[in-house]
Amino acid sequence: MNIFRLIQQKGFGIRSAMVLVIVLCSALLPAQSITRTQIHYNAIPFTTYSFTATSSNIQSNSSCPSAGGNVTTPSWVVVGHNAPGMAYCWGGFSSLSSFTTGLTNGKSAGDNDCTTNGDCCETCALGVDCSGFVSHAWGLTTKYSTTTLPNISTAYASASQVKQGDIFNLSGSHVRLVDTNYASGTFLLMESSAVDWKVSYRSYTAAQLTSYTPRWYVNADSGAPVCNHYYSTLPYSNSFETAWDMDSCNSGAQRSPDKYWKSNIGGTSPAGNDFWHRDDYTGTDWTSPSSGMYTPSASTGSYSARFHNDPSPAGSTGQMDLYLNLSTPGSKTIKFDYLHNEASPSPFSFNVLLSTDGGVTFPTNLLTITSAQVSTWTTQTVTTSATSATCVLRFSVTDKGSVDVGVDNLNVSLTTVTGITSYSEDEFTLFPNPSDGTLLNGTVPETDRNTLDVHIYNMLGSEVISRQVSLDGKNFSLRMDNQLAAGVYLFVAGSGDKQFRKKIIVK
Amino acid sequence: MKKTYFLLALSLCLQYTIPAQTASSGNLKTSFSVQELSKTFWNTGDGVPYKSVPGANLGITSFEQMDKNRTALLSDASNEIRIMNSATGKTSIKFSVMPTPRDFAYDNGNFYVLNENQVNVYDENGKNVKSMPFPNTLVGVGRIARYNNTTWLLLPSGNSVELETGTAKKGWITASGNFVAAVLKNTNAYAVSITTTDGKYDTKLFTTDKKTAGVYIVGSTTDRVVLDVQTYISESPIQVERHLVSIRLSSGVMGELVSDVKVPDCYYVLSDKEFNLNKDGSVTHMITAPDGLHLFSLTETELTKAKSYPSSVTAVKYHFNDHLLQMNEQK
Repeated sequence: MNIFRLIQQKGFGIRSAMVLVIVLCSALLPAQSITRTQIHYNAIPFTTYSFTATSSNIQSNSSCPSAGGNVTTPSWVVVGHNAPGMAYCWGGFSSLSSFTTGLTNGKSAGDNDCTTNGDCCETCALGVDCSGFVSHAWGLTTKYSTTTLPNISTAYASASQVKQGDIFNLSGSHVRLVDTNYASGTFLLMESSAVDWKVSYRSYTAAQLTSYTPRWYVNADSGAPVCNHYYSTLPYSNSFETAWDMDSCNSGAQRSPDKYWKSNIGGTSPAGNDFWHRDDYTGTDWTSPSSGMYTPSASTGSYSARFHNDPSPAGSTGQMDLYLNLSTPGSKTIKFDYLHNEASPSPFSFNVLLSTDGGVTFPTNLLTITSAQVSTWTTQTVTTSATSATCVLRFSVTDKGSVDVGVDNLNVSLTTVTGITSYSEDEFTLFPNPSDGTLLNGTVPETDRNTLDVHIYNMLGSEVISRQVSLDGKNFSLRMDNQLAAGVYLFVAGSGDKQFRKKIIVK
Repeated sequence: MKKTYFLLALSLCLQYTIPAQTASSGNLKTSFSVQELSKTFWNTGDGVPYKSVPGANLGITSFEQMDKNRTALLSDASNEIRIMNSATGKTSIKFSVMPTPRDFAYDNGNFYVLNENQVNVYDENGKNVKSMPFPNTLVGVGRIARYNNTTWLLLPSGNSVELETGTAKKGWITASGNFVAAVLKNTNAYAVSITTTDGKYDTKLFTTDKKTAGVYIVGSTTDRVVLDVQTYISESPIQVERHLVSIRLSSGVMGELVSDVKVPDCYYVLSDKEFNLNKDGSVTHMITAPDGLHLFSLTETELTKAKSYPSSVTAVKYHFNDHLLQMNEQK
């Protein structure tokens, strides 16, 4: 029935009916503006999402009667810890929280059965499809499809114009979200597709994007983004070669080497030169950027992180914070190259500080460089045994001089012992996992020993079980005798020069 | 006097509008001569797998020439490495690799297979001998290379990272050890830069007749730089024309464009690596067509003697994006 006729039948005049229709249509259209940075920050958690699956979340050709289809979990999903990326599901629009909740309800972690109508998602399976992922990134509360996304976006005249948060759309087939449009014509894109059966990053040439239309969301603007913090797991490395990101918590300039960093002004200077940037920065944060530049500009590659301090107010301080998840037990090694080729500036200090409470306090000073002049790139190494998932590593420099301070080739990793071979989770088995807390069985690759040293840590990094067990060939059994409360634990075992790590769940 | 000023102005204008060093593909004396090496059928026992999935059509994503007689194919449709006879195109050995492989490199009897966040090393029997994870800050990596017993990730940014040490370099490392980078300069030009193994750096500007869409590194030898140059036919929706071009290189200094051949518009599946520059300067080109996977050898030849691609791949205008699964999505 014609909607105008329907409204008129309900007693409205034609003008009132038109107004009502406009209001109704407005309610259906997304109206709230969103920044491109915010789109990016909405998308990232889908690429880094991790989850723990049980056997009930892994299904093979299981029937989903209410939706009229079958469900098969993607093959990369295993019982236990899975990362990174939310699983693909045709027709899916799971949020991070609904995916997590759905797992506890025994739904499949993704679905790669695309032979039926694609409506098993949300009913029997969890995940996002390509347009479901883009809909979430664009902050939409309802799912749009590749055929309806054009209704809320505008086509560019050229693919070369795309920016972060835009899409490449192929109506009826697929859509990809833009992360970076590189100067060579390479596009770094984020997508939920069946190539990886999850949300992931992939890079494409122009030819690979044949027939796609570049589009921008009509409500995308350049306003202030919501402040976000992301903690990187280990290993983390950065040699500062790529262009820096806009800091979502401190808008105005490219002050973050990547999403895991924040620029933190020290407070001894009102503004100006006490920000860290990549060494070739020429924006308004710095005055006379060519002044004070050190050589060579990097210890590896072409660029480094630079604290520019010439000219500046006396004793100004710049701080650059790296957010790290150091929850894996054991010692961590922090290595970076450092350069400050100037004798006797005053004042001068360079410190590497550590926070374990998300940057609220920095009680630990990991390194102080007391010698002001380090005339060549020199590797600095410190270690920490912190196990907080919300650590912040702060590079703080106070300087009044004519030569800037450089940091390059940063690497943070679990301390490795020479000669030890670590095996990935796929290379050994633990079962049952989840466990009822009584017994844990396992199979490890061939070793030349007949015992295994087993350590189990809780998520705070505290050791809760330490025991030596016998190896029967490749097999072993560990009696836990209900010592552990329900929860997630880290299983670490060593035998000779081999080491095994895996997350386990106790029900 | 007026004429003098005019000539001076014209001279200054030309100085600033025309780059000092430019080269286009006109007036070439050589081209690539094309010879078909093998053809392999889809979804046959000794052929190559093909699969259509939401978002892509999958088959062979990369290839490596192991030696004169053997070519290895990386299948992201079946998550396998398939070793085939280079002459017959028939698979003799196959083994599984970790799901969703992106690219691989063959070196010293081992396959270095790139996955999303790690490199898995397999011997020729398919045994996984080593896993090398890399930081989650390196996203979207689609290519890998081996050089001098080291493993390099070729980043979307155009830079390279050595996996064993974390060392980052500008440009993609090539089999000769040279690092090559390309950047679009304006609508019809691109700059190529090269850093040779002895640290010599050179950069040069090249032009294209149509608007440049992208320039991608194929490889370099001691005397050539080979590029995949794509120009727009349509900028939205995207349609491009591809050319394989080679640039003369002498003692680390780039010269003029030497050869140029138009690449057939035939793409049956999504592949990350379609070209391989061999040590002898020839290029192996993998074309996926509806009738099978073709391998061609391209060698520089006098323009008048150059043999072009056969009609079996030039007559077929096919792009997998135009043949994806229609998802009939619900809103």
